[in-house]
Amino acid sequence: MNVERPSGDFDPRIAAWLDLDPHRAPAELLDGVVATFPSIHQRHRSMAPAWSPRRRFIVTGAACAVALLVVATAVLAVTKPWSPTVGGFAPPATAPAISLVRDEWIVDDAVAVTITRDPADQTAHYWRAATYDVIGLHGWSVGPSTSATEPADVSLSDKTADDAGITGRSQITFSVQPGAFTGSTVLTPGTPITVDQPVTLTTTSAGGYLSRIVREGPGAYRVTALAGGASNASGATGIGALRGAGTHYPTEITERYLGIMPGTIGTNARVLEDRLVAQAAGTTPIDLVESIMQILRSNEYTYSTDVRSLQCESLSTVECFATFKQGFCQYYAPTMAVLLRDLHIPTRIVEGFLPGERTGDTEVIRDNNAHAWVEVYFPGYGWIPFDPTGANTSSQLPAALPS
Amino acid sequence: MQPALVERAMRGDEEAFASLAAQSADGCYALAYRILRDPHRAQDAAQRAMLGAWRDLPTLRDPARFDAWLHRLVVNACYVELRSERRWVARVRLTAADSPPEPDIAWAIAARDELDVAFRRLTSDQRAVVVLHHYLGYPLTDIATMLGVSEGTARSRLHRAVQRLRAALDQDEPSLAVTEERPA
Repeated sequence: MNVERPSGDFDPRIAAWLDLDPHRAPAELLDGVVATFPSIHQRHRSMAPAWSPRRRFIVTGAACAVALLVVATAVLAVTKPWSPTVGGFAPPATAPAISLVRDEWIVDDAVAVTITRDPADQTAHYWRAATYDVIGLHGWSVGPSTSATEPADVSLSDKTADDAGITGRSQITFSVQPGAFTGSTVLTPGTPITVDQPVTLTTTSAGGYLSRIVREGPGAYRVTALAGGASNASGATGIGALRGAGTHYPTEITERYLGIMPGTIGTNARVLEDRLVAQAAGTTPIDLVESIMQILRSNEYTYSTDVRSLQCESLSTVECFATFKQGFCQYYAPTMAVLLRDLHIPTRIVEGFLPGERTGDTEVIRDNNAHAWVEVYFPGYGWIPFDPTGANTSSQLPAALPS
Repeated sequence: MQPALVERAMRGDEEAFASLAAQSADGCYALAYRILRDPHRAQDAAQRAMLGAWRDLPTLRDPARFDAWLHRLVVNACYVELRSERRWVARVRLTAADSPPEPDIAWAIAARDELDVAFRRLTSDQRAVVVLHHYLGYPLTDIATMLGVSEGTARSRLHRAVQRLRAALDQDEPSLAVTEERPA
């Protein structure tokens, strides 16, 4: 503070007492402020016309696109940012790896990446790019993390804690040809095993859970991964199995994946949480997961790509969504993730792409396939994906687990 | 605060505001903490004030007065917090903040508790005046302007608040008598 302290009726004892209190703000305070810039910006567009995208239109179809996925990716890893036709702004230079919830969803349909994979494997994969452990009032970010450079083709699975020896997953190998998605983040379903290029592997510093994998080189790349999980036919990770998973979570999980920023849960979010508990078929975590999925994917919640008209200025994204019941994936995902966290179920936000169009051995993924969803941690099973976003996405995995 | 930086932020320069926010976060939090006496609510109030600053910056008349203007926003955000009965959920703090300074051994715990209790019994207006004056060192004339009251009102609020706090201090006079000579 640069204000001169006056003399006069000044009591040094009171001043000394006040001085005992903290002088420094928690790191997440600033993260929360920075993470809210775009939603503020949406209401003050005239302040910064330079951020207006050159070419854009509102997607009214099923896909919920995540432009900021790539912005976040760019912060960490790339020199060339995500196409300005998607997203339309850059984060502040001081921002950490963050993604920000927006009031309007604007993307184009350019080909983001083209994937070449075994045509006999008809599994529809969600293509994960990054995971986030910190969920703020209006966005999410990566907390303290550790990065290490790994040579090409070495096993990455034993360098993360994500592979919990999950049964029922199968190994897949695929190649990715970047299109509009020029970022260096490796896209992969499930648990990555190898990448044919040197990469930087970023994990959460406490438990070593995967945050993202960034290639060092440009161009196409080839990945081998363990995939399946929610969509596997064996039912190994079905509801019945997960009911027996228990709640003995590792400490590094509870330390990092249960946090809720103060102010996130308001009156209406609390009502929603009470309701999901009341409507659940049981009391195990998977019952609660299924319950919130059922509620959020019902007609009660409306998928809308433009929620600028909602009066959410003073509300968290979760409270806004619980109040007005309108939004897109960036509203659905944190609502599910936060309410489950409040019920002591570890969750993380994931960004990536929905399954693309399959033709022979080619899967074309477009910008408007970009998406955000939720992964829930089950002891012994690891992170299982769930997609709470409704609106015509019911045919896409991992909408729900096989029962 | 650099007026040039403030002016850039006023024109919508997001990076400039990010710099301002980084420079101001500790001060906002410290002020909010002292008024609210709660780390989580302080964080929320500081955050609300800073977001309000970004939204309302174009209305700031004098960039040189940014600090005082921002402090007023923090005080207002604290008023909102004190009025609300919201139930905060914060079982896990995600990022380890720096710990509060170790209390000086000369400050008896009982005395600090008495002060804390006395402070919590103050009205929000009184809390704000005490902290603005005794922690930030604002003169009463500035405080009156910030809070939109007359200087006389600000003075009487401060007087009553300090009276109450001194009464709490006096109860523990023996342990507080050494505060002027407390060890380093």
